[in-house]
Amino acid sequence: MTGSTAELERIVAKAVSACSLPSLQAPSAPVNGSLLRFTGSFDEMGFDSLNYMEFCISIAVDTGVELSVAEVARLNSPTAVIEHLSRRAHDSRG
Amino acid sequence: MFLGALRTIFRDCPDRVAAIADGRLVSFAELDANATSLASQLGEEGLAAGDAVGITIKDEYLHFVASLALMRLGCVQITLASHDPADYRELTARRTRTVAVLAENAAQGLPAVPTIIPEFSASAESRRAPVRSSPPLDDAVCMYLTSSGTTGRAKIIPITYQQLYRQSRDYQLPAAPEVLYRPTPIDYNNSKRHRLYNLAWGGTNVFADARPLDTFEICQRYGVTRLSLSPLQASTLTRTAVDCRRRLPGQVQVRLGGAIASRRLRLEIMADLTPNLHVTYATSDFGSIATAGPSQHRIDPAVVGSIHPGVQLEIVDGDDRPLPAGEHGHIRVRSPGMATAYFDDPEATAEAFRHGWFYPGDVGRLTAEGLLLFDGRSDEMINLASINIFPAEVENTVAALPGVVECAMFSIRSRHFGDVPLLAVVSDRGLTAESILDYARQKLSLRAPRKVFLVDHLPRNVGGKIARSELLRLVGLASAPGEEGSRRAWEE
Repeated sequence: MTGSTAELERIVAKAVSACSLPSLQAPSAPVNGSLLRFTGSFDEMGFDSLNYMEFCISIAVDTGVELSVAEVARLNSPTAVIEHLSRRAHDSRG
Repeated sequence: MFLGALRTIFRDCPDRVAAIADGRLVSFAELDANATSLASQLGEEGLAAGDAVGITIKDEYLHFVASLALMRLGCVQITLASHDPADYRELTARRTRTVAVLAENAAQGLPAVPTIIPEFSASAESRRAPVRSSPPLDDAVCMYLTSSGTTGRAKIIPITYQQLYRQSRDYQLPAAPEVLYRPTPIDYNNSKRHRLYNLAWGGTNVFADARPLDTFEICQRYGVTRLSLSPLQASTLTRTAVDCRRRLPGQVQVRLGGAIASRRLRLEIMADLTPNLHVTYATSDFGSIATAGPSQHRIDPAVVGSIHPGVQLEIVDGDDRPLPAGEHGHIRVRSPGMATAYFDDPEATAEAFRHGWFYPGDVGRLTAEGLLLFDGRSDEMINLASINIFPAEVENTVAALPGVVECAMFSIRSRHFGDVPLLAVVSDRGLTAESILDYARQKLSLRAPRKVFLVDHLPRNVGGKIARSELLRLVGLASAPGEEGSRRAWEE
């Protein structure tokens, strides 16, 4: 799994973007380029269950780490997900 | 029925060309004499009606004569192709209680089964006594077909004379005799079966030529009217047509079978090889089911055409309830010519043959006009959080993007969401994975792949079908054989 913060930011930003499928309610977060420039929660972005699922899948296909909807909801924000993934990468490197 | 049709052709058209082997024209009279001669030899060797007899003969004409000779004797023939591993052939021979193997030489035989090296008189005047046996009954089994199993244990499909006759009627709609050429060798089941169909219609079979003639020359020289190809063969021939600025002669109708050709390939063939293209949907167990003609390929990327007149087809849900036009569901078919069971395999029989129908394990839809749209194999359907995703729909959609040469969907198992769809793409114009993914998301929304991998090639099996189980390894998501398909490869 990748460990650099910049890379994780890019992956999480992409995951938020992946929730913007035409048939889904688009999250309102301002995702711009490769970096996240916001600190809001998933609730504030208007995430519903399908948004959570797409977010989790996108994280999994890019990192190989599969988070559950419950874990992501508990983490509550993209920033917290980045920190969580960063910690896991650090722990796995021992 | 089938032998009756053959007898009629042999009697009424003795001088018509039945086969072209190594450039030599063989009349129906000569073929008849050759088969009679060989049947006499095999009878003298002790083969009798009901015996299961293997054929391991690569020489196409000799194989064909051996097939007809075994029918004369009422034996049940089974191809034990030399391209199959010896242990696979041995297992199949043991299961079917094969009493002898016809082979070109002793080395091609099997250790536990007597080998007979066939000989027949080359002239129309057979030197041997005629066969003295009663013709087999229509409901007697004339051949065992084997499916291309991946588990090492083939499904064995018994076909009776009556079924073979009915299938030949479903297969060949035009009444005029054809000159058929199939580059796929005769020791592939369907290649032999289609040649037998053609013979029963009074057609001419063109066999592989020892001289280095290419397909264009063979079609030109022998007046081929029907060229049967796999999609892979057709793709290669089309590239040759473009590179060498050649086209097939105008009388040639190309029939694609063995796998469903993409619309892109169909349109390339029609533009560069011949406009006279037909795509057939068929299974080894059933025979031909539907055919799409030249005017139908643009209707829908998944179209496999009109249902053949002798075939009944329904789209049903998981509880076998028929579905209306437009709805995705399981395909089921029936016809008088269909097989009704697998040999020695009650479990597979119960799964595929139910309530008088055959379930080929495919999913599809019918249009309001009754055309069949093929969506793929049932076991290839991906279920992502209760969303059914059909590989054919995804692949046909993405294949329409300029720059995509071909693509194949596969999946990785998620602990939480089911199967996550992924897509391997071969591109010839430097497309990025992101641009392909964006396109797919716009077109397919929730049924879009969640990641696109650019690859140099798609892995295929010997029949030219995409080996989806290899794709996870190809893109680096599985590292060892067996770690594939449904196995979860993600960290928890």
